[in-house]
Amino acid sequence: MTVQQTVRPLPGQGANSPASQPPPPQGMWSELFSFRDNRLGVMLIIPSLLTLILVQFYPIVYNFWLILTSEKGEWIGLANLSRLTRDTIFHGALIFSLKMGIVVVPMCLLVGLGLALLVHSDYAGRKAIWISILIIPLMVSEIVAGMMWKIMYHPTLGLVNVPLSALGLEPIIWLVKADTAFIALCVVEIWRISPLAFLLLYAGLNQVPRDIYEAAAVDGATRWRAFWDMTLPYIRPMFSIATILVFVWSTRTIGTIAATTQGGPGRATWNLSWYIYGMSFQRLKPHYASAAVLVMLLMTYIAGTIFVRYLWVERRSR
Amino acid sequence: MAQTDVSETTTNEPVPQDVVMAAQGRRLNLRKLLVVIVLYLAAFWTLVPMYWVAISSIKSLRDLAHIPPRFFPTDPRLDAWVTIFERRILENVYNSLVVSTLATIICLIIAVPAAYAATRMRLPFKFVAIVVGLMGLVALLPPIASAIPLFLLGSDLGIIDEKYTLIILYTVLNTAFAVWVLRGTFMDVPMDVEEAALMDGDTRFGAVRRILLPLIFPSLFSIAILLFIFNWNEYIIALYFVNSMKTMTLPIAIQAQIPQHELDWGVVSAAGTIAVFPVLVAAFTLQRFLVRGLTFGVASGQ
Repeated sequence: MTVQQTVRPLPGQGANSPASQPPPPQGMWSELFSFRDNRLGVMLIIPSLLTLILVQFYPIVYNFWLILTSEKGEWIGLANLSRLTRDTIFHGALIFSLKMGIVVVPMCLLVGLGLALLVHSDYAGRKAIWISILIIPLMVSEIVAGMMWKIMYHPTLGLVNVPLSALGLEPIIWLVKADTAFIALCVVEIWRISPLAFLLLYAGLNQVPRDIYEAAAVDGATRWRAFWDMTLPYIRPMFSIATILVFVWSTRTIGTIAATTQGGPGRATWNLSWYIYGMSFQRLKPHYASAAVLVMLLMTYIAGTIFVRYLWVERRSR
Repeated sequence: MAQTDVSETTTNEPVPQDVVMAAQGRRLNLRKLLVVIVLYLAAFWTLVPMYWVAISSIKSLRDLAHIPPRFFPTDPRLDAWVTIFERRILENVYNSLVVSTLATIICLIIAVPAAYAATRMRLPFKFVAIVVGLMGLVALLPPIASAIPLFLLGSDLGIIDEKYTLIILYTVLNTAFAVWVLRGTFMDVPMDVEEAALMDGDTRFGAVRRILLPLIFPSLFSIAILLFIFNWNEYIIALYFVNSMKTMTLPIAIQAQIPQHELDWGVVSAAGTIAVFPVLVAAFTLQRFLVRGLTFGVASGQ
């Protein structure tokens, strides 16, 4: 794991050191190993560690046991996994999750970056209010967001069809057909998650030192060049973080599907989470569903490794 | 906000020099107008589903059936609100409040000492790095991944459908995240003052209580609100662990109220409005903390 090799400033000294300070010389590391108040420190950390063990390590280990046994608890080796590779419903759910990621991630990043630039610009007065409004969807429960949009998409009650009928078009019954349901769900996810990208990228823009623009202006650089050559490289780490978090969020969504389509029509809008929920809770096959959990964990692990690497290494190497 | 005087060069579009020379003042106004219009559109896009739900809850049946739908109710009624209270939504609100509040408090009680130890005490570097790194990673794991094992464990222990189970689970699910965020907060506070107090013969606990805690209180408050909102919104664990009205939290109650096809949307709209209200308060309280935290501490991995 990358975590173990990453560099971290001295505990207790990070507070004073600005982020850009180079790592302290090697000799200072030995100071860390004076075990003066280790015992108290470890005791203070242990309760949190226990929670980690209870909610993360125990479930992960237990998951492996679940995968390797049948629903009756007999050892069946890798049968669950091999069954999963032949399961067309699972394939559909996996593809749906990835497809949604492919649509939602770039859209969220675009919307987020655009709004971040706008709010960060001089022209937006009262930034606090804009930010407060724009981050609201981030804090709305998945199920409530889904419910709101289900009303919005409702053929007669909803607002979405109003512009269509104003143009003289037939109202679309969004959630009933597979392709429109996919678009509809993507819109819900973009509504829900793009504020996350906005918030992260806005914070990233705040980290860009202002004097580099003055220097660029002296050199006669246009705004576009300044943005392309200076702003973007600076917010690149934040951009990566935003990409990964948006991806993880969009694949784990379950409440929006539960509120809007319930996986339908047919199984057209099953994503990974919904598949896991459906298999484990509705069809009562927790052992088999755990195999799908493993796939989801792998996806998160890959995204998470990149995440940790950016968080822990990127800044130090700058 | 600290960033009100950002250089205008951060905007996206290039400016042809001649235009700038010719009509800078007018052009600036035009730009400002454009930016503000787009921001208003974004705010509209953000708020319109919430507005729609809120007014759907007070529309009369005739307004609900009206085609095209009305943006303003002509004949506001409170029927849906009466119905939702008759369906004992207050019990769900109570459950959500109890579970969210207790889980938040317990979570902070566990996480604050850990974050303190990780930032303020001389622990073996690798130990802290591994623990904190794992916590950061764990904050990414989808809750549904732990839901099945925890559910099976809960069934074995016979503690499904109990409020305290939800409290325990919400506490532990958020602890890693809380430690991680608190660590960033603690790092923002210089140690000098604390060290001075320690030099003056104060105990470690005294220094924490009299100096550190007042300093981090605003952040602590924000983190508490953030955790509360997480718990208030929590859906997946509740899906597995809630079986009856006794434990039903608001998100599950809302799901149960969603009609599939009929026109009965007023009731669930009222429930949704109740669920969203704390969120609006939280967004305005938290925005400063979130931007600051993300800019300087939390996500920068200092």
